Amino acid sequence: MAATVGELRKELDKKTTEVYNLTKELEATNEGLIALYMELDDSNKKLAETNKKLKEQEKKLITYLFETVNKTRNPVATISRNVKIIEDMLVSGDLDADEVKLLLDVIKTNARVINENIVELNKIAIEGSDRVLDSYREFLTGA
Amino acid sequence: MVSIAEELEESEMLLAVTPPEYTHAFGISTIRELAGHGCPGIVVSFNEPYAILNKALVKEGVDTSMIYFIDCITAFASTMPQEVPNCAFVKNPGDLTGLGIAVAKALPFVSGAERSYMLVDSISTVLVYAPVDSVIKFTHMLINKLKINSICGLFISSTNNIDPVAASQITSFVRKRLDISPPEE
Repeated sequence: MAATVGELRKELDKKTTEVYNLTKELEATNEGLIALYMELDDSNKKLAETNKKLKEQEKKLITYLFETVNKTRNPVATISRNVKIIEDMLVSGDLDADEVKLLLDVIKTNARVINENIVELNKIAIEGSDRVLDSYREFLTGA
Repeated sequence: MVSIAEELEESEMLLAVTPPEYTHAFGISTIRELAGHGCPGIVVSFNEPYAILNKALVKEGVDTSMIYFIDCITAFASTMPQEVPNCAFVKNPGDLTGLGIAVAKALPFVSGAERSYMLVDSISTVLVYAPVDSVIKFTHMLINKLKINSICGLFISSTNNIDPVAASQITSFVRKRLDISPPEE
């Protein structure tokens, strides 16, 4: 038997209410999702920022290590080289006292430069850091 | 053994990387070879004083009147020496402006020669005294100056004594990089 108009309207109202409730629920879910996306976006931005900072720090560290090698290994190599020249030329009798003194002056200069460069590199390394105790700072940067 | 004269003839601008303990001997043998070909040259030394280098070359039979020396270490380590006709003394090895002036003063010494050269001993040592960016810029400028004046350039560096970034930049300015090993005894 066919449903009466009243029954059909009642059924329609029920379905309309269901659809309305579902729409509300969907809107709430969407809002939740948007908030979640925004939160993810924020986290992503923070991660990207941290990553950028880490890369910058890594670059600074590599540059610092390169500088350390450039500024300490080279004068040590020069010292070894000049010691060998003194050794070779003294053995062959090719150096007089003034020339030995001159080469020793170069060696002393290189030793001084190594010391100055280490102090300079230490200053760069602890620059901006408040974690290094004053007594350590003095030890690291004292000439 | 590599003939530096032939390499320079072919490539004009070279970076020679040698073990530190061989750098002195390599420099002497290279200058002797080039002098043997009758080439006048400019030798820039950051490690060895003119008095020592000149003596070592004379002992090897090199006519050092064919060489203009730019000594960047004597005045810095000791006192400013008395004037020498074929040598300029730079007060400080990190004074690249002073070095540039000395180079400009030295260029007429080799101009007019069919073949001439400049030997720099060594790029790795300059890095001790001057910031890496300044050394790279100066090297670039120097290479351009040499090219304009048709002078071959040989830049020596000690193995592992120059950082990879600076090394790759300097290598890009020259035509060829030679990795030199000491001759076997």
